[in-house]
Amino acid sequence: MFKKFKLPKHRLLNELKGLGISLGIIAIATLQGMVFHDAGFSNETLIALYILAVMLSAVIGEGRAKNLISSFVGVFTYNFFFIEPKYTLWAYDSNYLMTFIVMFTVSFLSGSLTYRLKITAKEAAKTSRQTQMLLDTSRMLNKARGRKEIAALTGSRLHKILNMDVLFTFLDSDEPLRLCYPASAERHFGLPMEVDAFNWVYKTCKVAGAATEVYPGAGGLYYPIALNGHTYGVIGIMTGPKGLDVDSAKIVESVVEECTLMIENMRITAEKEEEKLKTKNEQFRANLLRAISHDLRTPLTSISGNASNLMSSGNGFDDKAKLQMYTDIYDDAMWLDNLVENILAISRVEEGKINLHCNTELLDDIITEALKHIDRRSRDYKIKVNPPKDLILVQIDVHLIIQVIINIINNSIKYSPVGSEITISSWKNNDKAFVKIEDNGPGIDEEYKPHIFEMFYNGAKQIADSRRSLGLGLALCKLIVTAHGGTIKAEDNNPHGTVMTFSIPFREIKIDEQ
Amino acid sequence: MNNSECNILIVEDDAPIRKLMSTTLKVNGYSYKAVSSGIEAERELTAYKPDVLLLDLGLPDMDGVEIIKTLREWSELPIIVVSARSEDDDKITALDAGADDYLTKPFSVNELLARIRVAQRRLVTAERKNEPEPIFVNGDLKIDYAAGTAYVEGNELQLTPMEYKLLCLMAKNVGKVLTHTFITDHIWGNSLESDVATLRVFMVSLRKKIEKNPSNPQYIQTHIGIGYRMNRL
Repeated sequence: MFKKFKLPKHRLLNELKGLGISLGIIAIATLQGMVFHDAGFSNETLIALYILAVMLSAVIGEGRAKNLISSFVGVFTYNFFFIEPKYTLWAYDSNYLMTFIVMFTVSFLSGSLTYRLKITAKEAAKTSRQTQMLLDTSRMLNKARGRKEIAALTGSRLHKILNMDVLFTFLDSDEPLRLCYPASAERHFGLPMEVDAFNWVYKTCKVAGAATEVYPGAGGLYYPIALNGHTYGVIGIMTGPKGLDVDSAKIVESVVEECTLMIENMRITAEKEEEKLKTKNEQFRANLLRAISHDLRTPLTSISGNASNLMSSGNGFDDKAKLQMYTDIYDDAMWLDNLVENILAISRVEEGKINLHCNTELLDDIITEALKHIDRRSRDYKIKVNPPKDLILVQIDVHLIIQVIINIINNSIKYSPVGSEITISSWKNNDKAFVKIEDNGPGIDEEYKPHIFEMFYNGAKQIADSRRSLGLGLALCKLIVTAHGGTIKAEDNNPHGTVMTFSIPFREIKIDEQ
Repeated sequence: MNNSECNILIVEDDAPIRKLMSTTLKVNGYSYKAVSSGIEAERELTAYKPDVLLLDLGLPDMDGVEIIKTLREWSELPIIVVSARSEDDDKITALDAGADDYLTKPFSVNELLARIRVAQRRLVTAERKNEPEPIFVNGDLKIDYAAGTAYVEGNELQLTPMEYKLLCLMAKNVGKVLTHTFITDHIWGNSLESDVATLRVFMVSLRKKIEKNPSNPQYIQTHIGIGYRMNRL
C-alpha cells in the first residue's frame, strides 16, 4: 500500500560504523594477543581470541558486510603478527593454510549466526512491543462506548504511539466529529493541500497523502475509515514528506482496521436496535389505537345520546334536566379535547423518543396556563398555588409540560372526593426545577403503586367505565419528563393522599442591561 | 361602538363552527357575514368592508397567512385568526404577518366574544390615533412619551431603559398579541434564541413594577408559546 523509503546512504553509514567497531575490536584482540603471545600462550588461544573478537563485533556493531570483512581481517592480522615469518602475509608452515581456512570459516559462521540471532531477538522484541501496543489499543477500543469515545481513543492512541499529529474525523452521521491530537494540530490539517488530500480519501476510500502516489506532497497521510461500502470518516497523520516506516504503517493499519470494525459493529447494533424499536412502536401504536377507539365511544355515546334526546323531545324535559344534559355534553366534549391533547403528545413519540420543541419559559406562567385547562370539576376542589420564592426559568417543551401538570391535577381530581385540597408548589435547586402537586385524597393503593406509570394501566379494571381513563395520563407524564432529562415520582401524603413531584431542567440567566 | 355597528366577517370552511360563530354573533347583536373560502373572503373584504375579521388559517383554497399579508398592504383592520392548539407555529406566522390576535380551537363562546371586544376597543384607539398621542393612558397606567416616564396611579415608576422600551412597545401595540420574535426584534434588533429567556426576565421585573398582583397580571398577558399582549383595560 505504501513503500518503505530507506536511503542507501543511511545504510552505508550503518555498515561503515559496524565495520569501524569490528576493526577496533580486532585491534584490541591483537594487542591482547600480543600480551598472551609474550606470556607464552599457545597459538590456539590466539585463534580463539580472534573468533571471540568477530563474535563480539557481530553483537555490538550493525551491518552484514562487516562479518565477512572482520573474519578476513582477523585471519590476516593473526598471520601478520603471530605466524613466522612475522609481519608478513605468508607462513613457513604450509599446514597453516588449513588453519587459516578453518579459522576464517569458524569466525565468519559464528559471527553471522550471532548477528542473525541478535537481529531476530531485536525483531521479536519490536514485534512484541507492537503487539502489546495493538492489544492495549484494541482492549481500550472494545471498552469504548459511543462514537465520540472511539474517536477520542483512536486519535489519542495513534498520537501517543507514533508521536505525530493526528486528525480523527467521523463524517457519516448528522453529528460530524473532528478531533485533533494535539488540538493545536488543526492548523496543520487545515492547509489547502491537506484538505484536498483529505477530501480525496473520503471520496475514494483509498489511502493518500505523504509519500504515496496521490497527493505525495501533502504533509499528512490519510486513511479512510470505511467498510462494506460505508465510509465513516478519515484519519490523518502528520508524517512529514517521508511518510511512515513499514512498522508504524502496520500499526496504523491495524488500529484503523480495529476502529473501523468497532464503528461498524456499533452501526449494526444501532440498526438492529432501531428495528426492534420500530416493531415495539408499531405494537405500541396498535395498542394505543385499540384503547383510544374503545374509550372514545363512551363520551361520544353520551354526547350523541344527550343531543339526540334534546333534538327529538327537548320540550319533554324540565329546565333542570336539560341543564344536566347540556353539562354532560360539555363535560364529555372537554374530556375528549384533553384526550386529543394527550394523543397529540403521544403521536410525537418517535422511535421511543419524544421530539421536543424546547423553549425558555417562566415556570409560573406554565402552571397558570395548565390550571386554565384542567377538568371543569376542579371548581369543586380547593386548588392552591404556592408561588416560588424566586424567578424560575425552565428550558422545556411548553405544551408537553403543561400536559404533564394537567394530567397530574386531573388525576388528583379523578381519584379524590369532592372538596379535597390540591396544592401546587415549585422551587429549584442547583440544576433542576421542581413541581410538586399534592392532594389529600385517598392516596394510591400499595398494589397499584409499581404500575401507575405504565401505559394503559388505570388501576382496578372495574372503575374503567365509571371513571373512564385510557391509563395513559401518568405514563405520558413519565415519558415527557424523562425526555426532558427529569424524573417523576409518586409518594404518600401525610396523613393521606398523593404527592407527585417531577423535575425539569431550568435555565440560568444572567442579565446585564446595557 | 355599538355591537350592531360593528361588521364582522367570518371566514371558516367548517360548517358547524361557522354556524357556531354566526349564532354567537347574532345572539350578541353583531352584524356579520360568514364565508367559507379564501376567494370569497377576498371579495367580501372589499365589498362588505368588515370592521373585524375572524379568519380560519386552514382554508381549502388558500393559505390564511397569504390573506393576512395581502390585507395588511392596505388595511389595519383587526384580524383574529382561528386555529388548533397544537399549531403554535401557524399562529406565530399569522401574528408576524400582521394578525392581531388568535383563538384556539376548541374555544368557548365567551372567549370568542372577549376577543372581539378587544378588537373593537382597538378599533376605537386606531380611529383616535391619527396623530400620535404624546401620552398613553390605560387604566391606572400612564406613559408620557415626551418625558420618557411612566406612572401607575400617578406614581412615577423607576424603570430601567430596557423595561421602559419594553413597556412602550407593548403600549404602542395595545390589544395586539406580540410574538417573542417581534418583541426581541424591536428591542434588541435581532432575535437570538437566548433573547427570549432575557425577555422573560425583563417581563417579570416589569410586571413587578406595574402590576398590583404580578402572578395575576392585568396589563400584560402571557400567551404561552406565542408571546405577550397588553390588554386595554
